Amino acid sequence: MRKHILIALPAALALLAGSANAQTAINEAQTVNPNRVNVESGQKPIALPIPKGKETRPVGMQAIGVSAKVEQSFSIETLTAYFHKRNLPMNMGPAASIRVEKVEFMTDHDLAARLNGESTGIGADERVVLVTLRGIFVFSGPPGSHLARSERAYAVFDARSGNLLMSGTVGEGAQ
Amino acid sequence: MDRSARYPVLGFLALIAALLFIRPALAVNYACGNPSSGHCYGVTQWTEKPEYFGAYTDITQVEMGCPSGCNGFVDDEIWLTDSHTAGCKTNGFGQCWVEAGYFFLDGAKNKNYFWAESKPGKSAAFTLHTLGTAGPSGAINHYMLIKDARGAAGVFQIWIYNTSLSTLYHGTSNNNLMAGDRILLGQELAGTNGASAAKAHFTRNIWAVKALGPEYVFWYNTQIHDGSVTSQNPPFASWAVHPGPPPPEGGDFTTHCCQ
Repeated sequence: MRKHILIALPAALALLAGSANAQTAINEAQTVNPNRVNVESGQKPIALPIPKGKETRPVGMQAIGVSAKVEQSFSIETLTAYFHKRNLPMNMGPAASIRVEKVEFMTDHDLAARLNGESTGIGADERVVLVTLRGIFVFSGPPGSHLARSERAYAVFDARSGNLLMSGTVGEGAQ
Repeated sequence: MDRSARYPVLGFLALIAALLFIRPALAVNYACGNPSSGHCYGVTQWTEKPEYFGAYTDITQVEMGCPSGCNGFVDDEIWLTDSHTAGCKTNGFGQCWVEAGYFFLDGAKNKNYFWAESKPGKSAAFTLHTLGTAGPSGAINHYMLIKDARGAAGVFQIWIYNTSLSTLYHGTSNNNLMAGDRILLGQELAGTNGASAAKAHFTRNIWAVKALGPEYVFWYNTQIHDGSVTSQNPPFASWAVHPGPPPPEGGDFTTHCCQ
């Protein structure tokens, strides 16, 4: 019996160590390259041309199927089902908490006026659908940022294609 | 050994065998975001300049996935952030930023180009712009963020494009009075399981030494230091070629996910 335990124990310890590694896989590793030659500053500014050309019209992400009766395609029921299934992009809050509060059709130009200058970029006269949402919305930013919570959010769809073009939380100045 | 003593040993060995089988499955599970914890990152960041007026990188398009139920997303991207301006410290995130890249969202059919922003203010306003299906794997795209000094204050321009300009997305961040004090590039992972991303290369890592002016040029210097690398494993991130004298300009930083 003792012999068996002596065999099993190291194996178990090795395994537990490996398991601990797996559980603590989220480690921050700061690496520096001390041997790097420091050719600091002294760099003259170099010119990179800004890209010029015909801009690509944003098409967004496939979201809502649009039928001939466009208004009916964006019913509260359809939109609620969409958000409960797909959530708002990048939202860490529960999808089930999302409630569709209002659905409005407008031009992208009018959208920008409503959202403090934010527009989808598809064209000022193009029709979009602004969907106002209530729920638990939690977003994260770059490393080092805090989680930000909000109870209000919105999504903007292309009225023609039903694609999701823009989303976010409601900030200062938005109506 | 009598029979009563043998059963615990056999049970113990069976447990070990079971754990050995379970471990590979654990490798694709991770804890990268829920309503009370943040995402995971594989990034490098530079903070030594008082202001970065812009940032640019070339990112290879790679295969990505985040099947339905992955509870998040995976991306490759570049950020220009501000964590010192008063309005950014109090905007809910503690930072302002503009970012651009491509991501694969939970259950999506394709990876998508995006850009996003968070501005100074008190209401944690975050805006995400989803642009369109990202290019084929193997392609290289250019991501440029720059402060625009040609008109009103608080404007940043964002471009995502390929060399032939057959893809040329452009966005504008308005009313954004941030001043970039940090550049980051790499991978962000959100969710709990199942995401994947092949090895992506970030090359031509450069920064704007001045804001965009009437000459309409991105005046730049190259990154010559590694910056501070964070690899939360996953995502995995490291320098394949350390920044230094070109080529390549600004080294070659790589990311992949999730095992």
